[in-house]
Amino acid sequence: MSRFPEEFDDCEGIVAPDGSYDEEAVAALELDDEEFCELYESMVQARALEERGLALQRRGEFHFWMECRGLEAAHVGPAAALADRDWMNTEWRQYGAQIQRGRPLVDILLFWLRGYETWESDEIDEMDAYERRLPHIVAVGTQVPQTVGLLWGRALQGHDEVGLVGVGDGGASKGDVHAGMNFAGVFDVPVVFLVLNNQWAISTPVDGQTAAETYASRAPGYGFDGVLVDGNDVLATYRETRRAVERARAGEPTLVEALTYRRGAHSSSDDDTRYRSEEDVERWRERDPIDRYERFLVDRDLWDEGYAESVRERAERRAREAAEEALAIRGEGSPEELFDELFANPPAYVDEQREELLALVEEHGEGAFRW
Amino acid sequence: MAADGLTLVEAVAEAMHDEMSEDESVVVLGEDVGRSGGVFRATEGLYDAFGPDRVIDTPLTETGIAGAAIGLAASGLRPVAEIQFSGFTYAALEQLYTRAARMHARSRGQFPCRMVLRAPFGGGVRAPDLHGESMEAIFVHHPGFKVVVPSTPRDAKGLLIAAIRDPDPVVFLEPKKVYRSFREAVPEGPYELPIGEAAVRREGEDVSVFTWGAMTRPTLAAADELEGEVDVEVVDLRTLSPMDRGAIVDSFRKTGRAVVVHEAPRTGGLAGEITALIQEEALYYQEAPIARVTGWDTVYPLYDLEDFQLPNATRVREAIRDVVSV
Ligand SMILES: Cc1ncc(C[n+]2csc(CCOP(=O)(O)OP(=O)(O)O)c2C)c(N)n1
Repeated sequence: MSRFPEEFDDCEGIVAPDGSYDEEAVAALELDDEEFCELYESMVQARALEERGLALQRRGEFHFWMECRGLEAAHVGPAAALADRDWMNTEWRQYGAQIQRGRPLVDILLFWLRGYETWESDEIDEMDAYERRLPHIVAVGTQVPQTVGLLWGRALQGHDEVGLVGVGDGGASKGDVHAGMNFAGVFDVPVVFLVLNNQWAISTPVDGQTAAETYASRAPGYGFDGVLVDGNDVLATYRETRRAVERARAGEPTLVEALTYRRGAHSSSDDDTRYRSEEDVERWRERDPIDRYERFLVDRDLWDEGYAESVRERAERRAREAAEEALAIRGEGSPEELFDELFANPPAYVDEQREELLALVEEHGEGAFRW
Repeated sequence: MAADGLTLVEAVAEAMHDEMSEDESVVVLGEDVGRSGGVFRATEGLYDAFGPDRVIDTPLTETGIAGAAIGLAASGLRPVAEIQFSGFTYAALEQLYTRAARMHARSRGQFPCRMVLRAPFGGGVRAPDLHGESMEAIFVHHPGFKVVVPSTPRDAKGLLIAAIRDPDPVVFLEPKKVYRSFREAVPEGPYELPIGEAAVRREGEDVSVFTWGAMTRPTLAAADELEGEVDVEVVDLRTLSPMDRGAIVDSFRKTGRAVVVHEAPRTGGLAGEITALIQEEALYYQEAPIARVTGWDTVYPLYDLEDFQLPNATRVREAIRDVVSV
């Protein structure tokens, strides 16, 4: 059922599943040892965060968790290809991308706990790299035309900024995605479209979303290039996105399809054994993006057990601390927050309803409202 | 400004023109809004004045127009997006509901969604299917939007400028039946009329009629016909969200009787909301049941049958007579 990057002649890759790699291609990346290690550490951190999230979900402290196991290279590599001034609108599952951009883990967790997100800097011009994003949208695909509008607007205002927007193989069926790509082609908007083809949209396999061989093949229909990349090869996702970012700076959008596989369930509420076989998952486990990259790092003398151990320990500690912090912050919510920031210029009825609720809480106590 | 004033659609164009001159972050986008000036000429003259970077002809996709407008707003611009006919706003609803209306809340104020979505709305011009819809209730029901429906040229200009300046997403519904049906003196240069304030179009003691948009005209005509028989107060709400509840309640406390007139279908329409408000705030002033004069709960009909769908002066007059006879 599942497809592998090796089945496509034109699929871009650098490090093969067995860890062998193309020396020249690696040299051309011009990454230093520290940067090579950073990609690794982001992937390990994403996995550690996921393990923590799932553990807390099982203990009933988190209501919900989206899984990302096996997708780390498709998330981390593209994020690493952006400059600090660029924008990145991910889907919620792309933890690794946000980690690579420097987003605090607690911030990632709080999205699931309270639904809204917060920013440190008020002004766009003062935003850190990780803040250059719009809040996550649960309606998949809708972020695509919005990202196009955002970058189009930034370009009209004279800013040299590129945007990366992620959408899944399921989300890519939506009309919004077509509208956004079409707009970008027509108006030369500096955007990179990253189709994260993890081959499943909950229980619907990719051949239930499209009859096309690849998503990359859609790009010429919009008047720009599409490229298929091995989504489990972090150096390849990095390279192809970087090329796309360069083209975007020149006003040419690109569609990058990262062909990968979601090995975990869709979310903590999903039972993936109902719709797919363990053999399929196993065959993709052999292509694990972290294991593969470890073999590459070993060959470059950048990896040994001691290093791996320390990276893993640090990642686990950070994930644990972030979760503790997030759970503590969650508990601070108060009822009037319901109405906070509903409008920038709030009409009076919002205040009236807030007063109505607060009077009830005052009279009966918060406990009377818990269900 | 022409000596004899502007039509409503000319006032809309002038509002955008004046505000674009005032604030270079305002951009207009939509289908055919550029060289052609829009199918109703609501963007007439803007392309020549401001060029293709600020008056943008888009591909034909309402999802794309709404989605791009949301992104443009996040980028720091102030987009005014036109949906060619209100019925095509259905295609843009997901973008509007899932993002425009909740961007400010979900980003805790980081990204206001400062955009205006303009659409010619309502029936009465003998247009094809999906060109006559009245969709105000679905926007009013969704938290996070402001919804404005002007009924006169002077209001249209002042309210549209206020909408463009408002930091929240505003759905600006233009009653196309009265786009060109009369002229009114309109002040030159930019000015604002406050969003959220109703206008008493005619004072009266016997009954309050609450209405908006194109229905204001037949309502005033009915009130004129009843001159000497019933003293009718006509309140044009002008803004449906936030609704001027004070104006509604004050008027009702004075008259004790009410008729609500809207062209949208009855079930789930705003007449129900206004009636509930009166029950909550002024029940003991009530002298008679509240009447609703609305479009029927039908799929909007074409051509000749429109005459039976849209409330007219006769229906309004008879409803008023019924309410005052109790
Ligand atoms: C518009 C919309 N429809 C349905 C859903 C429910 N839903 C959440 S995730 C999902 C599958 C998405 O699959 P895909 O786009 O391939 O991304 P993935 O979750 O695999 O990363 C669905 C159907 C949704 N969030 N948004």
